[in-house]
Amino acid sequence: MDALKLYEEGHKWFVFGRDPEKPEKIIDTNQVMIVDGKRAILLDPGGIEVFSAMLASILKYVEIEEVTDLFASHQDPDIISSLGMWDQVLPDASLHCSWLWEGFVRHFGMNNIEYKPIPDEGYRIRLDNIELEFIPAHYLHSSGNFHVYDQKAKILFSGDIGAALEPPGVPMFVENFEHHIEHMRYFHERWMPSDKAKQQWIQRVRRLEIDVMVPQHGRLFKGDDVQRFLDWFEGLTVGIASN
Amino acid sequence: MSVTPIFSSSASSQENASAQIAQQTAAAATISGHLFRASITARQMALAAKNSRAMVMRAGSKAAGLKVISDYFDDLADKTITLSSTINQYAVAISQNSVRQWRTITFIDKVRKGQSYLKRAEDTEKAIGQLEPAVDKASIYRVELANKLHSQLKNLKDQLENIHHYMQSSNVVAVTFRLEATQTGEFQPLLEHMAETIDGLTNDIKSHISTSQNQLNVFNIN
Repeated sequence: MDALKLYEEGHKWFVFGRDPEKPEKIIDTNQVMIVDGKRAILLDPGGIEVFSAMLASILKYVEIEEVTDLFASHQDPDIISSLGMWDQVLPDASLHCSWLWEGFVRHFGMNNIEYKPIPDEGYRIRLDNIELEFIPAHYLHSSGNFHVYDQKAKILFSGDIGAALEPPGVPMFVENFEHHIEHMRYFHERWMPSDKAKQQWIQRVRRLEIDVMVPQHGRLFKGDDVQRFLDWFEGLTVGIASN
Repeated sequence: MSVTPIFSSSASSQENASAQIAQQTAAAATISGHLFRASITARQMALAAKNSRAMVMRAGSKAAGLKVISDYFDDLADKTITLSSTINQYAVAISQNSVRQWRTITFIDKVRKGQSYLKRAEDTEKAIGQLEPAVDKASIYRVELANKLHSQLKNLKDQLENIHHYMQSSNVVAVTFRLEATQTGEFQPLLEHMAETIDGLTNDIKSHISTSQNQLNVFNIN
């Protein structure tokens, strides 16, 4: 599994993905780890199929007991079906996920980890020194959905927003936004159900300072490509299956 | 507590262990299904026994010898219903135990696989050092589950044998019932039909019990 150190100024952001060991037919995912002092949080730690590779990857950078928190943007299997495994290596950790999904997510196996239900309006957590904000992104695409914003690093983890479906092994960052659109279009048209939810999210996110946007699938956006993405998404018709 | 060798052996033997647990889970679920059907048949048998008792009452003194037999059938049916319901709980517990073992083995397997991805010796050493407590804990839990499974299986096996014996008795009593029915004059055809019904239901239960006993072979009970 590839690892990218995205940010390192006091605290660190790592992005893991492009796993060559992953079974061919499962969708490639980006997993994120933020390390701040002696605490680390995993964002969308992934499906059970990538657990081994993820475990090996994070242990190169942190001690296992330093992973104190998990975050699941929503309840899908590619996001958090590895929970039953993490539950056995991180017995004292907390899982932050929408209050809506507690009874559902527990189906993945959760006997030790504590479920911290995120209310609809979101909340902030502090690691050692930095604060992370869980920003509402409901109906994009899940009915209880959150993103993670790091004000200090100016990085937004945007879950399925900004996701692209591309062949394996592509670079980590968008290099040509216009070319990249075709890899994102269908995913957003079909998976995102609500134009109203989309506009609210764009309004909310435009108020943030974002240097890098990290979706859970596909390439990352940096610099002007973040604004390009917001402009493009704003004009896109979503929920096409209902038309 | 010592752990079973599957956790420290090769990937293929772990895959075998995982496959065996999967097979056990399916076998326990199959047993549970058959016991449920056996309990439904036992209810039908209880109803047939009650009908036969009513018929015996109507036949009066001619069928006096049948009263004891129909009471016996009734009692047997009640015992079978109770027993099949109790042992179905064993089967469900065994199924749950198997799923837990399956998940625990998968966890150990995934951790081992993760360790194998680490190329640098110091990373491997660090990973082993940090993850071994969780693997040990899982291994101990797996042994506890295996021990519990063993005792649950022995109970299940004994109880299945009990029902099997009940049903063998039921077959024998059905023959006696049929013979006694020949003494009941105009009630003979009806009572013979009842004896056949009870015999048929008994064989149906025996078949479910026999299938369940065959499924137990998957578990290699000593």
